[in-house]
Amino acid sequence: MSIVDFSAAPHHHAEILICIQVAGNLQAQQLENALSKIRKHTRLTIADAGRVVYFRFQVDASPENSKWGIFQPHRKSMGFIMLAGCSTAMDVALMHQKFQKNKEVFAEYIFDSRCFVFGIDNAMLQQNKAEVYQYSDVEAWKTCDRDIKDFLTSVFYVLESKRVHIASDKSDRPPLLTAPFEANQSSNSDSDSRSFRKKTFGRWKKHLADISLLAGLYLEALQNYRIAIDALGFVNDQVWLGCALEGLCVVSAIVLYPQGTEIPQISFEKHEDVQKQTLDPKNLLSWNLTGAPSTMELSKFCVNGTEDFIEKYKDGVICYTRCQDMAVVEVEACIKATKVLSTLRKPLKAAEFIQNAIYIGLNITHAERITKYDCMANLYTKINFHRKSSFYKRIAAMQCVAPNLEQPDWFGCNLLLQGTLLGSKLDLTNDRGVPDDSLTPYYGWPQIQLRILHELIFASRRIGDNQMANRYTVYLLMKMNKHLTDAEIKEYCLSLETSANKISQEKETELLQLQDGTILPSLHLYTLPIVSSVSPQRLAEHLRPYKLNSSKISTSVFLFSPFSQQTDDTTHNIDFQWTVNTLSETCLKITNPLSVHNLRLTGLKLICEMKSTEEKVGKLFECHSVAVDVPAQASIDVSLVVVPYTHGCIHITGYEFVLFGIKSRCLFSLMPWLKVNEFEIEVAPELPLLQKTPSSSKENLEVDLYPGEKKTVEVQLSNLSDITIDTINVTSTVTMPTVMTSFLSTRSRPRLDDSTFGFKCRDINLPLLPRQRDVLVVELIAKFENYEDSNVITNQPDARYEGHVKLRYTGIEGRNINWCREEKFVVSASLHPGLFVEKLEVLPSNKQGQCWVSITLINFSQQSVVISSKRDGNIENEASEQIVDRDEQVQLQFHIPALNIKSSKASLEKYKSWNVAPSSECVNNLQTQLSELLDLKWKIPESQRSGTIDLSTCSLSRDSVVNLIKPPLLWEVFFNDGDVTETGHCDVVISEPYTLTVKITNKSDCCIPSLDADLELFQDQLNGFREWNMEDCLLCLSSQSQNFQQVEPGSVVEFECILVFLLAGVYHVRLHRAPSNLCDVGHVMRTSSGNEQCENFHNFSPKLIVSARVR
Amino acid sequence: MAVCIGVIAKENYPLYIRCAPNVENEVNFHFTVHTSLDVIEEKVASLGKSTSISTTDLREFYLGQLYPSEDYRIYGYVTNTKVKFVIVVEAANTQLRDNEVRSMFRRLHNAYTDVICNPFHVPGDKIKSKSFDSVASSMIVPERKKENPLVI
Amino acid sequence: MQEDATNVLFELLHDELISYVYSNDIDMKSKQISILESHGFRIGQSLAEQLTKDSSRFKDELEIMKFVCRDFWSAMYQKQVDNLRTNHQGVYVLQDNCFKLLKRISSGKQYLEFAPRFLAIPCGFVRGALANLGINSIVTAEVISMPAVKFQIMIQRV
Repeated sequence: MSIVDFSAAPHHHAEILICIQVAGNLQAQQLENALSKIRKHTRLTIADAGRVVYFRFQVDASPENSKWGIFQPHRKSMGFIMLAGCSTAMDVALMHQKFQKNKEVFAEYIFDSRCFVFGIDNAMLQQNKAEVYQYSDVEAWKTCDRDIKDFLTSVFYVLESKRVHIASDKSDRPPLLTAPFEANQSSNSDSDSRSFRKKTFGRWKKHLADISLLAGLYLEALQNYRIAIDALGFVNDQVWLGCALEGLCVVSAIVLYPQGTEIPQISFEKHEDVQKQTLDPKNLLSWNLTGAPSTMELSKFCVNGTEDFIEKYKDGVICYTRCQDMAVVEVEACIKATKVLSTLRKPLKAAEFIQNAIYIGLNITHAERITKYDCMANLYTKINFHRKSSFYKRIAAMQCVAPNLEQPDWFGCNLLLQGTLLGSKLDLTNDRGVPDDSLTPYYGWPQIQLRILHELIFASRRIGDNQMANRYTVYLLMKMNKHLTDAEIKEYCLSLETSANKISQEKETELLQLQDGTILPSLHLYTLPIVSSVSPQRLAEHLRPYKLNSSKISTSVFLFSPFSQQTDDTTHNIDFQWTVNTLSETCLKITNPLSVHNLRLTGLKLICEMKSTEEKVGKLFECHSVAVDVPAQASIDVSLVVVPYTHGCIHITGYEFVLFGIKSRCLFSLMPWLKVNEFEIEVAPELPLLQKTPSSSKENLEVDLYPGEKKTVEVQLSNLSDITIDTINVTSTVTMPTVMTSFLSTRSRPRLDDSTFGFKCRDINLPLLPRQRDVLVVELIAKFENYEDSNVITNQPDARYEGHVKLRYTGIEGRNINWCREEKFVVSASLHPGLFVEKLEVLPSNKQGQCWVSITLINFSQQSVVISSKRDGNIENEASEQIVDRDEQVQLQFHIPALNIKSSKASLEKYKSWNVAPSSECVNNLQTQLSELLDLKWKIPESQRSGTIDLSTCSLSRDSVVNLIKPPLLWEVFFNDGDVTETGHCDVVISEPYTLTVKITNKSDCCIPSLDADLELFQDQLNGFREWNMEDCLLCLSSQSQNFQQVEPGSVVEFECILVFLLAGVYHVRLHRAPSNLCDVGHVMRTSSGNEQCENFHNFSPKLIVSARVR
Repeated sequence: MAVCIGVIAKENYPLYIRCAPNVENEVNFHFTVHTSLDVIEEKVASLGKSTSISTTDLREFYLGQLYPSEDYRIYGYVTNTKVKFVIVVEAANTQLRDNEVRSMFRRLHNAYTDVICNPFHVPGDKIKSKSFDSVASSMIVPERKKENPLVI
Repeated sequence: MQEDATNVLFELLHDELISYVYSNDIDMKSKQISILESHGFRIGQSLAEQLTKDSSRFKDELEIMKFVCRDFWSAMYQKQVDNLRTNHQGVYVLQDNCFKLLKRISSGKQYLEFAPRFLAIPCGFVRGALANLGINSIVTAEVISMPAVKFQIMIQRV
């Protein structure tokens, strides 16, 4: 026996072998169908005999093996089936002949035979020949089950009869059974000796056991094996002893370890006939009909546990070892033992059997040697010795392409090499290029992995499987580039590039398959190159969207929610927005880990997802792709562009590119070093785009101004977009460059803010249609402020101011959800030194309701300035025009009527409010009134510049404020109907009665609830002493003090009394308001001192000097 | 004397492989050592599995001969830290006794411990220590003179 | 006598290491504990290699724990762990009623707030030793009253 069955399995011992031959032209599909119909019948219940027997069908079973039928009956073909395809009657006849001929080869062994002919209509050409059945088609073979069962039953009964015959044979001298190789040796032996008889007895018992096993009698088989072992052991019949031991082990395995995957038919597989009997499948032998021995009974004769099994099997194998001719049997025994042990989880023992099998010298062909190594590798896989398995797979692979072969089998080599991947921990089947964990180092055996990958690449290229070769190469470059030399890296990269060119012309990335059918997941080059950082970029300033109402909109209705903090922080929310139809950039830092060779990436673009807030058909966004070259061991920054087409949220989840013809899609979520799964960016709706002319924002608009001067600047605005601008919101702020600020502040120069530097933008005509222009007019006014520090060097440089104008504009769509764009520009103004108000003072006038305004101006400009004021009847001043030379001071004086407080009424409604100092609002108001009243203008004749002098920002002392305010009470004094208010002086004659009338008008806006007036009469002695005792000097004919209630605004009250002067002299008459009335309109409480000290708001009160003389 | 000495990390990657200087195809020894890991792993695992058997030899670091091959005998040794040592001996070298192999492993283990305790060694890195190398080299068969087949 | 001297040396070195890490020389605020722990880890790794060299092969996790409690502790602190408990679900508690590195610092609650820095290295020792013996774990220490310490080992199963 020379052909090793590397698929040998222990259950073969219990299966009757049926040889199947195929003849004629039977289509492959038909043959397949026919075979599967036949192969269903591996198990047959013989109800009459109370047995279940098993069959094994083997196509083209070797007649050579059948010769070993005496030694091991399961090797012998006991039945013969021929499947034939015929189309004509002639064929049938020929086929019948062939059947007879082929059967003849097995005639010595087989018990029965059949020939099934397909392709001939049964009715047409029925040739009644024994054992030949004709069917029109395999499909039409309805009687298959019956035909096969009949045939198998027939085979069984022949076998059973033989068994019975042997079992009951009581012949005194049975012939010695011999294995084929023993045929010649037998004659030498002494056929009479006791040992010979013992040997004969043992061999027959062993044979009986074999046949009993095939016939489904396990107990008989076990018992006879035991007897045989004893007998053969006694006579030291090594070969047959080994075979008996193996038989015992095999039956024991079938009985004791049916759960093993290698013995499926006998243990669990249910067939129709068994199912009908509703038997317990757990009980191995329950299918045996009544009277069959139970597992318990059987196990008494079985080997005693696993250890015994191993030992007996080992003994058996050792017996075989002693005979050279048994090599095949020994190898098969080892294979079978391994299979049992692998199911028993005895890998170490199994490994010993495999090891033994490997070293058994077999006289086999080169092809068989390959099969042998492959088989051994598979056995190692069974016991999870993957490294060993991989090792033998590789040996088998190398045998396929051994240098002495004329036709090396590269396909076979490739297939076998692929089998080494698992054992060498090259896990391509799960490799998607994703780094498992950037922290774990690379655990592998580089020398071995490199070798295997090199070989795989070579083999794949030889068979033209460039895709697989590329896959291996990429694996090398991605994971093992540290172990490659520069030259190797270069070479591999170049080979990838050349083959990538070929592939891209053919089909693009389809799923790769290993030769065993394992589909490799598509590979994504996460680490070739490595993207180490990703950062979405803000839009350029003028393209950025802004929220119209800047108040932050909370995403939650709760001010604080503990849940909001548990949000998935792996989604990186970006605090800026992008805009529809605007190119938006994301920057990737890309590193090439290879020590040599540039990586040329094409089609590099972002992977995005977009959740639109509105229904929108078609593309929601577009990613633009770029091609980049990443130099060896270098990092480059690449900007990738995406254009959103709808507003909502765009999620950037990864990037994709093509390298070496491999299209990779890399997701951030699988790149642990990025620490984000995606970037979420809000996309604002499409917004219009304004452009100002001059377009560049760097080009500043420049003006120069003197204080008090006004200028306008025009900026042209064009709507560049297709969207109508219907809202423009202009705001402006003024700043000065910081360098200047500190410099100026030391000199108390005018502060630069809105109050100093006026900025007005006139409205633009809206809507601004697409492609239209308009002009924005900006008005600049430099304001005045008084100049407090008199010690300042007059020679000051120009101050520079910057007016920042911010335009927020949007279209209708943007406005609806409060999005806008911003356009900014700067107007810079230099403020020349000009006129400054050094001092602004208001002095009391001797006229009731009037005051003096004194303004001191300094001319700091380089030119002479002409100052002019309004000519008005109310104002008295020296000259209407005055020239001030540079660095000169001038004092202007104006006598003007006092001013009303035009402060808000609300503050006056309550008297109490007047008990505090005048508000700054009130003071400002007064100053503005003053400016308007005086209407001072300046002019520089030299440079044709002119402007106003604004006093509204000058500071006013407290006294000045008091003097500027018109008194709330107007006094008019009449003496005997003569108005003496102005003069305050009158002459009287003694002893004449005079009527003194003082009319008091409430000029304020408030009602005075109570007004007390006291008349004071005294004589001034002119020596610092006043004579108050006037009893002898004059008579007052009415009450000297009077009280008025509820003096309404505008109403007049009169204080009247009659005075008679008795002595000549100069008398002082004064009407004094009672100091008790603190809440009076005319009083201001000084809050600064905290004392309840009162002061007249206006000094003026009626005073009269009366000169009395004798008539 | 060994023809190859291997030290394999806990995670089953090579920390140190040294072959006899006259070895032609060093990668074959890598395969030999690599495949022996299957047996070592199985032997190590069998200690945990067999709770009932507390045989002392299972407790030993020395695993004995791992598997026979035609040309070599391969011995294994595993530390408590699951670092594996493998010594490959030529099958022809029959003088070497089990105890000698055991003591070779012992010396290797001691040398390895010194490597680990060396502050310049990063745990998990390949062994670059010269002192370890000299210990291993001392166990490797020195280069033999090429036998001239023509000499009778 | 000589034995004592080496032990004292170890303690002094330990204390100096802590004070160095906590000094301003190294700019690693808030990371000191982790620095100390990683030092301990590296030492623990080496020690495990050294100390298991002559013992027999460990059968299971519990044997490794017993090694830590007996041999490892004796080598480091000249005493064994007083009590070893486990919930059989991967948590072990090693109690040392008189932990050597705290013994001289306090008995009671004085300086309790400084206990963590003196236990960082010992925690690293245990974690490093276990890691080298094939057990990934998280080791923490708990002190209620010095010098008693409870080391808790949580095994990290993959």
